[in-house]
Amino acid sequence: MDAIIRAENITMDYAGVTVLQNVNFQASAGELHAIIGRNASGKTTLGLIISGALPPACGRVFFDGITLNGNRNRAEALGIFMLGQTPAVFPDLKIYENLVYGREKTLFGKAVFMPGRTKMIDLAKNSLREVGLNLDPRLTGARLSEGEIQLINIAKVLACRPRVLVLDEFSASLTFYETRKIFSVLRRMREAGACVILISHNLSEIPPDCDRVSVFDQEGGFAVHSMTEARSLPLAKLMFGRTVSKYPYLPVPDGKIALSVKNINAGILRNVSFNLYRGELLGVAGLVGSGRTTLVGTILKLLKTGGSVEIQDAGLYRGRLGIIQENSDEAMFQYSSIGENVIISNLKKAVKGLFLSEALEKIYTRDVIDRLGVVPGDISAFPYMLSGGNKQKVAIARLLWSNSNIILLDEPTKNIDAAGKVDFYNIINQMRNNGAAVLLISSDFTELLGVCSRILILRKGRQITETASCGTSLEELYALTSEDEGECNDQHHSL
Amino acid sequence: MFKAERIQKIKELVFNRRQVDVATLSALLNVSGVTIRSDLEGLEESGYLQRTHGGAVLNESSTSQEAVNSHLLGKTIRYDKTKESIGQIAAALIEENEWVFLGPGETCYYIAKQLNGRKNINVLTNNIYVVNALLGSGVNVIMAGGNLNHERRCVLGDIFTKSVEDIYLRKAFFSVAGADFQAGYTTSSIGEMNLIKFISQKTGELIFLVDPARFGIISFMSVGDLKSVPTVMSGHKMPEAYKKYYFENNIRVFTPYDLNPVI
Repeated sequence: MDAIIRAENITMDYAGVTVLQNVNFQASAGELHAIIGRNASGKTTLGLIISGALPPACGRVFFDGITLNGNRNRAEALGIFMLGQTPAVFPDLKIYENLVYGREKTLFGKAVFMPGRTKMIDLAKNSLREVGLNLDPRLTGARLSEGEIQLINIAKVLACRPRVLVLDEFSASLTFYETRKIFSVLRRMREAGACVILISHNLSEIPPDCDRVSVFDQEGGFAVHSMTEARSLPLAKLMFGRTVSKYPYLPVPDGKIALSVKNINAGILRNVSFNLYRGELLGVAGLVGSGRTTLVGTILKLLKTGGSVEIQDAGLYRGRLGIIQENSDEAMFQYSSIGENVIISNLKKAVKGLFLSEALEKIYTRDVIDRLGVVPGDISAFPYMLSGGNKQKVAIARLLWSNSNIILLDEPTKNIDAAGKVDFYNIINQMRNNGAAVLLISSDFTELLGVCSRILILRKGRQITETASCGTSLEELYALTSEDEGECNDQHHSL
Repeated sequence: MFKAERIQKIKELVFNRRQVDVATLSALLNVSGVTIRSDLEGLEESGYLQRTHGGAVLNESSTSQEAVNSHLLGKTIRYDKTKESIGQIAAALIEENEWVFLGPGETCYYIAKQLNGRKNINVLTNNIYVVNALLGSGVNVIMAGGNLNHERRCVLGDIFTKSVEDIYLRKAFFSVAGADFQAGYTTSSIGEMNLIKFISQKTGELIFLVDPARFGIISFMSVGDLKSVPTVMSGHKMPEAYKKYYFENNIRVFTPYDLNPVI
């Protein structure tokens, strides 16, 4: 295959710090190419350079034989586009206006006047259909979910018939369903002969049918591999770091069964059965699309299921479910105080006489916030003022208030920093020590191996096996979840 | 004369005479009245005597067998919720059939306390508090000999290291006096530094116990930089910058939380 993008001996530094050194990169038309590396390995910089948005300090970039010189507008005119990590739309503009904005000339030629509303709406309808979005183009940007924003940005690029598209960490904040939609759009682009380049720090977030994978390893090397090669042993190790011991793994002896799941059949899930014990931290590993989120929905009884989900009550122990998700923003009332957000999980408990007792709320929340070390420790603050880690602590305070002791964690640490992760897992440890049973879903396999004693492996909705985390390497876990490649069957999946 | 020695003398004097005055003690022990008063204050806190105007009288009940026992059993340790919770978590890390070392200090006493009732655990220690806590428990304890450090209530020195030359341990727990980005871990005495360096050669995993208030503090003798130890235990109020540093350098941090709410 002839390379459509060819970068030769690229060297780049920012203020004396070398980010890329003598990197060579090629990608062809009709190819899905992934660039993988740890944070700060230079992925985004390379993306900017090959998409012609940034001139390299040394070396040259060619597109179809033409030298790119870091002029973004020129690159876009040639058909090379890049979408950044956090795409945005104008919240006050309508979808069709967002789609047209900045591309008037490309889309409508050299017209002197803006095209009429109907023409723009028609165009927007087509664009939305192309990315599989069923939205009214007259909605304003503020009403879109993050995934929809991603897709609209892709639609915007698609309308310009791109020959090269670079996506930087596109699935960082997307749901399973949204990611799948984007994958299928990208596959169609590939079939149409475009070159799609995905940048990610996580091998599990790129589609399994990628043609080639370029990898930044930990020693600063950069090499290209086939997908199968990339999945084989040493690479994952290079990417995710060598050790799992940075997580506070606390062995707690298993207590009695807290939650018993038998033969679940829901959505993509087939015959999933397991027991969750008191004190246990059970991990669920699976790639995007393996049915992890469906599992949560089934346990919460939001989804109909064949089989059974039983909460075990025994003696003084009353099993009570609680959940903490990746994005606590969605679970919180942004304009209610932290205190109110905490007691909402069990209002009955805060009632004195006929009314909610403010005094009770204050006494409890002040105390719990101090115990959990929430910063700022002001209970009248609003959730949006808190950092990711502190939001999750408030979510925990809420579970403590409702005495939840069967805790479902769905990507709980995705938006929190290092110190926040240390705190989060230490609090979870303490809850386990006090008898809570915890189920953890995470796409960060290092984290799963680091904090869980037992890990369930889901592959395409099927429970493949279960493994003890001690003695299992990241590579093994990786192989278990992804051994059998290929596309997931397109079963409708809702949550 | 060292403080510990002086306190012992004061105790003897008070015990023999039933009551003493500051001026006499000051003259006998050749230290200032201020020093004597502060010593008496300490002894009053521990319940040994009662201060009076210008002197002190023996607290008769303190010499009763009960008081002697409580002294022997290490009950003079001040109760500390954080240390107790650290003890719980540390004990959870100790697995059956393991050999562990518990170093000097109160936190190690709290760890030992949590091992009470566990079976098939083997402890090597130089800490008298630890021995007291494990007296009568099912834990197999080796107390090696050495020079007694009166203040820390532990044994140190060449005799100790020689007597445990051939051992190998799974885990070793130590309290350190300071942890700082620049100075690393520091401890207050040469004896303890030597002990830590000796034990760290003999153990699979070295675990440092750091009081959350001791981050950013530099004590006397260095025992290695912050990356030299794979596991750290502290209170959850330890500064965030340290949590971040440890996590990013693949060092695991355990901090207990007290989750029993007021309501």
